[in-house]
Amino acid sequence: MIEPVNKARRQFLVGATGVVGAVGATCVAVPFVSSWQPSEKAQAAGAPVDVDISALSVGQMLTVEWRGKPVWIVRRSAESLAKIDAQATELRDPASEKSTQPTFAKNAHRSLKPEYLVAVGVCTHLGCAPLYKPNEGTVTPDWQGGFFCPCHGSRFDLSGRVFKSVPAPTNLEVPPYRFLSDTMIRIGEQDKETA
Amino acid sequence: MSTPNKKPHSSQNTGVDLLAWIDERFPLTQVWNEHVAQYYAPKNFNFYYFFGALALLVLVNQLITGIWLTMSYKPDAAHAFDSIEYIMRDVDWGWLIRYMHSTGASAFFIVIYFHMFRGLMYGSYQKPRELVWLIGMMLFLVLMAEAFMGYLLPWGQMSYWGAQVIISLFGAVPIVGDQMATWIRGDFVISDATLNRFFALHVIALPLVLVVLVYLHIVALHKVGSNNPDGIDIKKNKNHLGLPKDGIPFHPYYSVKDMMGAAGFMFFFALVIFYWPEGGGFFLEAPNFEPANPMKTPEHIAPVWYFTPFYAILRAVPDKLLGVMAMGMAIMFLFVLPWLDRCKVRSIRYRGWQFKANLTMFVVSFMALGYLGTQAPTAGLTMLAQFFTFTYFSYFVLMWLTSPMEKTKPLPERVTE
Amino acid sequence: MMLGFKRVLLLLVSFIMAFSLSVQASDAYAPKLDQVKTSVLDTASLQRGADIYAQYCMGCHSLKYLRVSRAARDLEWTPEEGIGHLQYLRDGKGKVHDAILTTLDAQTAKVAFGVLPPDLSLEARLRGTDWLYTFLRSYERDAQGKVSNRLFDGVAMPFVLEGLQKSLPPAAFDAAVADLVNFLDYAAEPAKPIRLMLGWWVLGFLALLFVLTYLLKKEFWRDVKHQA
Repeated sequence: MIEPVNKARRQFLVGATGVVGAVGATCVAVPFVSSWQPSEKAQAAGAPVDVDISALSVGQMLTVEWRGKPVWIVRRSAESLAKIDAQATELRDPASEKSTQPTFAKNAHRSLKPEYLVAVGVCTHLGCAPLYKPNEGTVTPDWQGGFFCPCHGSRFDLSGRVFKSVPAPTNLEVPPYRFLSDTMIRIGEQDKETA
Repeated sequence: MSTPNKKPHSSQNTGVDLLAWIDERFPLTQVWNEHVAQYYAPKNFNFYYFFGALALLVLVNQLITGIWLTMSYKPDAAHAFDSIEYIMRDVDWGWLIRYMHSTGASAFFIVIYFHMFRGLMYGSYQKPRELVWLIGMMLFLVLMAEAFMGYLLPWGQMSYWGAQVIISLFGAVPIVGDQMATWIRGDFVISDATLNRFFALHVIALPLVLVVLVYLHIVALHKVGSNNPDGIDIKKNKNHLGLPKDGIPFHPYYSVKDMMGAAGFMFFFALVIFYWPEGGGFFLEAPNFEPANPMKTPEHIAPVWYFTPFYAILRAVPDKLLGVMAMGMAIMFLFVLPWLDRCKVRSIRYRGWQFKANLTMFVVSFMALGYLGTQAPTAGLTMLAQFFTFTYFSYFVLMWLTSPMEKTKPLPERVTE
Repeated sequence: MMLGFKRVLLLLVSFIMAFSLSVQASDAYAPKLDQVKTSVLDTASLQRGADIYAQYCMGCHSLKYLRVSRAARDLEWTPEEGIGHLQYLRDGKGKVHDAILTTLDAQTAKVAFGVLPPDLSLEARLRGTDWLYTFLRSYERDAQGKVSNRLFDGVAMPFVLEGLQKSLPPAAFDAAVADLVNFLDYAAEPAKPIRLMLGWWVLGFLALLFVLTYLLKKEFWRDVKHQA
């Protein structure tokens, strides 16, 4: 005697197994996806770097490696800081609204202490390393000092802010850092209260 | 997506239209029906019939975890061991992926041994399934090579010395043996060159061969249809639609059943991964937690458990060349089994006492040899191994001799529950 | 008749099992090991073990695969505490992401002990925890002051735990060694705690999936049962 198929029960079981199976498949995917994250070894290599800046004179730039990327420390002169916003209208993102930096660097000098700029030396366009051009008139006639990327001609001011009408979309990235003392900077770590 | 009929259609029709579009260019529906939805399998499959699908599941597990392991593993004698520990400790979830792979290797053989035992029990190798069996045996052979080469990669003491011993077997071949062993190693000892080529074979060449053979295995099976525990042909009894009365479509009946089997299998698989990953020293051998050292042999070398039956046969024969030949024959005899078994009845359920006694003795010999292969050879154990080697081979001889004169039981018309 | 065959098979398999066990039991070469019960989920025990390791072992034996940062995280120490507990020998030069290394240089070690003290990262998986537990409690000094080990003939390692053994009642010493062995077990597989904890969830989930697929199979197979 053939009893009719209980369609509702069958559909419920198919649905329930499907849902539980999908949850299971997602859980299985988690380890495989997260195994692509930087391993502990990569994180160890990306540990904070301490830099002694006592020998850095005004106008000079120091490059250190952090997480395999060049990080610049530039000691800016009082004059250049005074006119840092002179070309603000020509900048794409003068207030650093769309750029990457710790909150403490979301200002015109883009740094913790106005004198020292700390920035990742990687062009935000396609990852070339821009050149430090501190002297006036060396890139364009009205050049006030800044950074120039030789790959595709992107220009940045002395705060690492990008000019309009160049390919780079955002300002140079500012990494987290803090001052251990007046002459020591730790790159890769920032004070909690300034975060 | 353009569809052949240009008239506007509702979204509900889109799927149907898309399928029609594909079917005009690729036999998707046809393949689905032929091999899944309208592939009629006997309805009386029992427990042993889970293992084919499970073997496929384990293969997929090995392929995926294997690909992920190659992302962090370094096939370099100077870094291989460290890179395994790097995976186990520094890579996010690396330990889980590695255990899935190492446990999967053992699980593969457990599943395959059950699968083969099923074939022996129900005569699945007999006419017309000889090619299914032969392709399956080739799969087994390639799987052994795959496992053997994979075992070298962790570059631990057991990896190293196990490979040393097995490759030295080729030295038994008259005249060219030593040159052959050197050629396989690419050096005068197991070295970086060996590791590198084994890596290439393990991650690319042999998996490709495995996948192709699995495909052929299934194509051959679906041409002749599945055997069943009664060993009778379900195609002899067809209904008015021409469908076998004792057959049911693979989908949904066996797809849901195999899902159940897969869930049950995964439970035990996870149990081992999370609570018994060393498998009592059989899945991960303790000496392999020490880096390979060509200057120091571990006190006791045993191959991984799935090779030990054949290893025991090798050791049981007191002559190097004959030992290697015996080991090779132990596998080769299985290849010709379809022609050694001359009985017309397939399943153990309807065969004579000779077959039952013979198969029992074979299984016992295989397990006993497997155990003996893990043990250090003493005079007493070697004698035992010789005895079981004899009974192992007697299976094939007795099969040939007794199968024509077995007193078989009458076969049923239809499959039994 | 199927049952008969299965019964015979079962009988033979159990015979083989019993036979193998008897062979194993009569293995005269295997030394008798004291059993130790440890748990890597016991963080307090791991902390005690780590401190014993740092005090008595770290001078000569490294744990080159175990980072201080990882050990600190799993042992519920801050990174600074981790450095304090496991890297104090390196005079502040050690970084938190470094492995637990020794300050002993290879040349000195060769001269002092004749062999290089092995790295102990994987010792617990190589030898087993029972072996380590027995080994560390098998040292003795005879009347002439000569040190030997009952488990390891001609051992190169000196009686390092002698001071600890003399200062503690036997049970407390055994417990201290168990903590040390527990820490080494953890060091051999830092994923072990998470493995043991996660496993139950996975098994529970798979049990649920099995029940569902079982019901699903049963539901669909009602068609087959009703088929003539």
